[in-house]
Amino acid sequence: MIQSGQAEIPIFIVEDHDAVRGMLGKLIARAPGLVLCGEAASAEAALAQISTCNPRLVLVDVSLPGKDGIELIRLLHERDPDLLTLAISGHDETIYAEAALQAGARGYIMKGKLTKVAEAIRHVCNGGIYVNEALQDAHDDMA
Amino acid sequence: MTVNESPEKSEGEGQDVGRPAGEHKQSGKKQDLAVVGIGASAGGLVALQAFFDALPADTGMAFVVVTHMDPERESMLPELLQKHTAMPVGQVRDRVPVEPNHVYVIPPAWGIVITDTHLDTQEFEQPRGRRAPIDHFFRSLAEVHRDCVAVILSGGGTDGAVGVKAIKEQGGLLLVQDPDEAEHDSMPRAAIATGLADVVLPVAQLAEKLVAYRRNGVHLPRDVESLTAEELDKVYRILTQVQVQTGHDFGQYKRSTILRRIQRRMQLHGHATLDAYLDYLRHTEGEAQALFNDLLIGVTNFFRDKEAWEALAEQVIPRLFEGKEQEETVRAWTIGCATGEEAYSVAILLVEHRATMGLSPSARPGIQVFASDLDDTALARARDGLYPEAIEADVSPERLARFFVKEGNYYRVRRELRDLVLFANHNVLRDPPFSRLDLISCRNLLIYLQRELQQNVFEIFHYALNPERYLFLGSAESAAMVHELFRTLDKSQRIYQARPWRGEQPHLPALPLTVGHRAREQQLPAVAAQPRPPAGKAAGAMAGYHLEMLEELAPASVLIDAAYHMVHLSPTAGRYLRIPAGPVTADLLKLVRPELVLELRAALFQAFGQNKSVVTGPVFVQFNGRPRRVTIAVRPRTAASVPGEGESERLALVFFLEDEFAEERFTATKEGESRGDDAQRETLVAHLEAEVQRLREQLQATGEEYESSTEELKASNEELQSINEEYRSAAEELETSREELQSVNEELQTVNAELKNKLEEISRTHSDLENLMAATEIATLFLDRELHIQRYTPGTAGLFNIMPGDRGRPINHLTNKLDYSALADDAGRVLRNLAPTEREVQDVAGRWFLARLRPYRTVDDRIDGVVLTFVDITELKEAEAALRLQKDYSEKIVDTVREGLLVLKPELTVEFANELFYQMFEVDKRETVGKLVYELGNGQWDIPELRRLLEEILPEQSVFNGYRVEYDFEDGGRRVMLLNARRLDHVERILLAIEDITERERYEEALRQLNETLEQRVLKRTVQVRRLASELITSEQTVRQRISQTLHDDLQQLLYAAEMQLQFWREDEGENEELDELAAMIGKSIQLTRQLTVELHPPVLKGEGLREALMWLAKHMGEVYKLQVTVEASDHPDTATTEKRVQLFQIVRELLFNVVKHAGVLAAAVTLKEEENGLTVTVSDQGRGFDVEKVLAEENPGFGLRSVHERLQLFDGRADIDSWPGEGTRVTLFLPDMHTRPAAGGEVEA
Repeated sequence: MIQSGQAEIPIFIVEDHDAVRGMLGKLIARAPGLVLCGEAASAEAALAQISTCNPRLVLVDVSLPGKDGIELIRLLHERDPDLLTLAISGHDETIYAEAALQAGARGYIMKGKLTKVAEAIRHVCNGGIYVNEALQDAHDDMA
Repeated sequence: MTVNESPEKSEGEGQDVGRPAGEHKQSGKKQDLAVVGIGASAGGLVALQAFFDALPADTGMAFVVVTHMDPERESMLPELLQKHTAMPVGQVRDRVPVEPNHVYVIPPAWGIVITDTHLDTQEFEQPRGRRAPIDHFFRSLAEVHRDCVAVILSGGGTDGAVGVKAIKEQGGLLLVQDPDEAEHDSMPRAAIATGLADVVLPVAQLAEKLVAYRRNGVHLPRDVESLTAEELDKVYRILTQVQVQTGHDFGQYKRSTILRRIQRRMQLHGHATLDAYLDYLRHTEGEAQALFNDLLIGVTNFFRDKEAWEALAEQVIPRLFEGKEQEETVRAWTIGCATGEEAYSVAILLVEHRATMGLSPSARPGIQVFASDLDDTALARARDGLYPEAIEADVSPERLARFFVKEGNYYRVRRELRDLVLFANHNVLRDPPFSRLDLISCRNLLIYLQRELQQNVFEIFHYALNPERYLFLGSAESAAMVHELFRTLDKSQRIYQARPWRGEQPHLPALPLTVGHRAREQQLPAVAAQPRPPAGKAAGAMAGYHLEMLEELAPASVLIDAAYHMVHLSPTAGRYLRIPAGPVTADLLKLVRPELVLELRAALFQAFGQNKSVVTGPVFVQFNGRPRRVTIAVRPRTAASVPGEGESERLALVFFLEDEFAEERFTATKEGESRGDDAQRETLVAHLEAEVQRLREQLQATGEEYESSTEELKASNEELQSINEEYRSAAEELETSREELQSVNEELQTVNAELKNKLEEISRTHSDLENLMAATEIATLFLDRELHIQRYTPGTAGLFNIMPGDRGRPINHLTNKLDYSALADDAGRVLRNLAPTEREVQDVAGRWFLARLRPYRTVDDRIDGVVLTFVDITELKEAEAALRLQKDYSEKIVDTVREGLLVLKPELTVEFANELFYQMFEVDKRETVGKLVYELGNGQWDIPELRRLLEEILPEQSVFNGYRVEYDFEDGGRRVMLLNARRLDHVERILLAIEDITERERYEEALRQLNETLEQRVLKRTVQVRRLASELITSEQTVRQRISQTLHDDLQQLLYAAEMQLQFWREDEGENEELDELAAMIGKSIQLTRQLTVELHPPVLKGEGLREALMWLAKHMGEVYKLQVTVEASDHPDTATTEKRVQLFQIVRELLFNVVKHAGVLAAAVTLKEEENGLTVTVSDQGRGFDVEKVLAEENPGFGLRSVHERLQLFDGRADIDSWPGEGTRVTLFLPDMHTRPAAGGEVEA
């Protein structure tokens, strides 16, 4: 278990959309205790890079060209169950959230709530599952 | 005018009427005003008028007219009668005194009674219809007036028949109108049937007779004591005549009763003196019988004296059954039963009581009632058991119903009661009694008997009854005089109980009790001597003295009869008599001193034998040890001089002459002997010679007597022997007769049983016939040989104006509704020719009848008339006409029809062919009809196929239709025919219709090919259309998806990035309104794009299952539209292609939108079911619903329902909409599987 504040947590971002990926990188960089250790635009690229970056947590966009995010999460989880994954999605359907969690993700966050990513990461790194709040928020949004 | 029963009453007759009632009561039951009760009913007015026309106004009698009046109406009878008599006529309204020369008429609705001197009205106790005012009045009349007259005139029913008995019993007179004259003869006949009518004459002569009867006014003293010896003698002669002619001796009957009855006969026939009547009696045949009947008038009613009978029923009847075992019988004897009412009353009580004992019929004791009377005619009526309906007054309706059968105006005793009573002609004074009885009912008989005789009769009763059993007497009788035999049980109702027998054998008095002439003779002088006329009284006393003194001084004497029985003794006669041991006797020879017997017997024999006086020689008798010489003189005498005796009786007076000097002479003789006195010796010799002579004579007499005795004995012996022989043969005959009787009885029983069966059969047949007659609707008339109507059925009334009264009328007297004037002639012809005739005739209403006339044959084949039946054949006729029309109609149809038609007989020959058949096959009738179907047209129909049809199929199926036959005809080429055949079983015909369809088939074939081509082309086009449609949908989806993806993948991501960048700025810059606005705008843009993305193409449709898509949709609808949608879906992987899945999804979404928009509810249910051949999806709600047909029929139906249909049709699917206003909506979508769907074009993958 890594103590927050003592060492920065390395984060890896998998997001196919450049603008969004850039913003996410910026957000990690701005967040205290978090550090961007690498980023990829596709699952294949991510799989190739992650082993070299050694991230503590991987942010995965569910909608990826080719192999999708869920599949990636599953593969990552199979490879290293200790690697934490947090699913990001532009979709607010719970089905994606459930699928992601089933595949091994420790959380699910909507793209409309990306400002909460730092909070979600910390929550997951502290051993929590970040999902309920996001879903609840999603509901609020819908209303 | 009136008959006086006692001489002293004769003066006061006129005033009697006016006397107050009270005085009459003191003087008891006597009324000297003669009251005539006249009973009349239907037809009585004419008779009454004739009666009064013939009646003088000064008869001195009072007349009471009793009729049956309508209680509702005022009666005009008094006025109507007043015109026919000078006597005042009045209706009795109230209590009125009865006055002579008056006529009283009964008021309507009231009864009338007479009490002493007054008439009074009385309310009826019985309901209307059961009232018998005539009986009622007659009874009351008989009660108070001993001397009254009853007149019965024309009338229906039997009223009066009971009352006249009471009148007659009181010695009244009964006059009856000749039934032949009476308009209604029922009442007169009933009165005559009682056997009590004194006079039966036409009504005018009745009046004359009545006047004569009153005028005759015979004055007989009331009591015997008042009769002169001569009159008494006449009375005996009259009774002797009765005895000679009827065999019954009334010598012992009470004289007063007898006198009253004789007086009535005298009065009736106009004889003023007993002498004249005796003469009349001797010379008029039937009068003795009539007098006898009168003497015997036994009036009995059912339960006469109700209280007495009730007492009997309560106190005695139950005890009779006590101790009676099942096998035993309760025996009762009714004496003097007359016409049997009393006997039946006893039987009714016994039966009623036995029924209350609750025993089964087999366990009950038997009942036997003996009933006896002297009067054979009365007995015959008793046996008949037929009583006028007037007995309703005495017998309760319950008893009437139970024990009687109503026969017209009469009641007949039911068989079961009748069988219990045995009627016998029996004289209690002469014949041995019935024995071992439990009850003797002897009412109003003893009053006719003299006291001594009563004593004997009681002894007989006591003998006949079982110990402690009962005797029931009439109200005026008593058994108190024989209290040692009977103890009183109920004094007022005259019920007595026999005391137990004292000895072993009870005493039965010697019978007959009337001992013939001697008894009467003994009484006669005594009776006759007392009332000698006063003039002779002193002389009589002197003569008595004289005789007494003479008797004292005269020698002892005894008066004896021809049987040597002593009749009278002189005071001193006892000296010569000695009472012997043994039975007490009056026989002189047994009583006289033994020394005298020999001499006396000889003397008596000589005296009676030669009818001369005889004197015996002296006999020496020792009296108190001293010898005396006794001479006996016998002096016979024929007793013709004895007064009051018709026949001569021989008597003799025996004198005992005692010689006082005999002893001295005897002694002297002895002395003289010793002295040897010659003279004395001579005297002695002479004396001895005389003695010898006398002895010789005596010896001779004794010898003669002996001889004659021997002769007599011999004769007696022979007689006895012959009698014995006769007895024997009689006994043998009796035995034979008995056997014969038994066999006759057997035979009779058999015959009876047979008759009974036959009777039952006949009555059964009769009732069958009656029912048949009543049930049949066929009008049937039975006429006799004279064509008179005998019988008819109810149906006849519809045709003939016939009524029940028309029986016996000639047939042509009746009008009828038939147009059949020859009816009587036809009937006559049938009778003559014996040949049945039938005709169809019509009645006035136009209906048709089959008139059938047949001779009536009796069982023995005799022709006894004609039977006419009229059977309604209107319907038949109509049917016939209808049939004719029908036939014509059918033939027309057959000719019109455009098919060849054959009618074949069962053997398949042609019976008929229609016009078209001939045309079709170019044949004519001649070569068709009658031919076998196969032979037609040179055998062109001999087709194996047709043979099979006609011979194999038709017999089994009865019908075949449209059987196609193809055949190459020689000249007609190949032809195709359709055969329809039908078996008509009821007429045994076969219909064969032949339709030539050669041409038609040709056209049809062409048409069919054309059709096929068309269809194929349509199919091709359909496939093309489908493919196009499918491509359209797919491309739409593709475009949607592309736009959606672009929105999501690019635009939206850019917006997210922009939003984040903005967020960074806001974090860095702090509060900035412009940034905030921008953030809101970006947020709004994100939301819009997201929504558009989803709506253009929901992300779930990308490769997800339909189930998930529906779940998403449910959630989406809930989130966006607040519609709660439940989804029930099977877990199986979807087999639907993406295309179909998308279509289904879109349709469900539209249906759910419909729910949101139209149903007005916030809930809906979706089910998804995968079935064997496809998918079924339902969308249902509980909302408003709608009329499906109406909505679909609209030009542009809402809800997009038509497009739902069309879209599903692309996939061969369908949608079923089930909805109704107020009942919700349910849409079922079905999409078939790929496998089951014929490939109609290429699949378009998304």
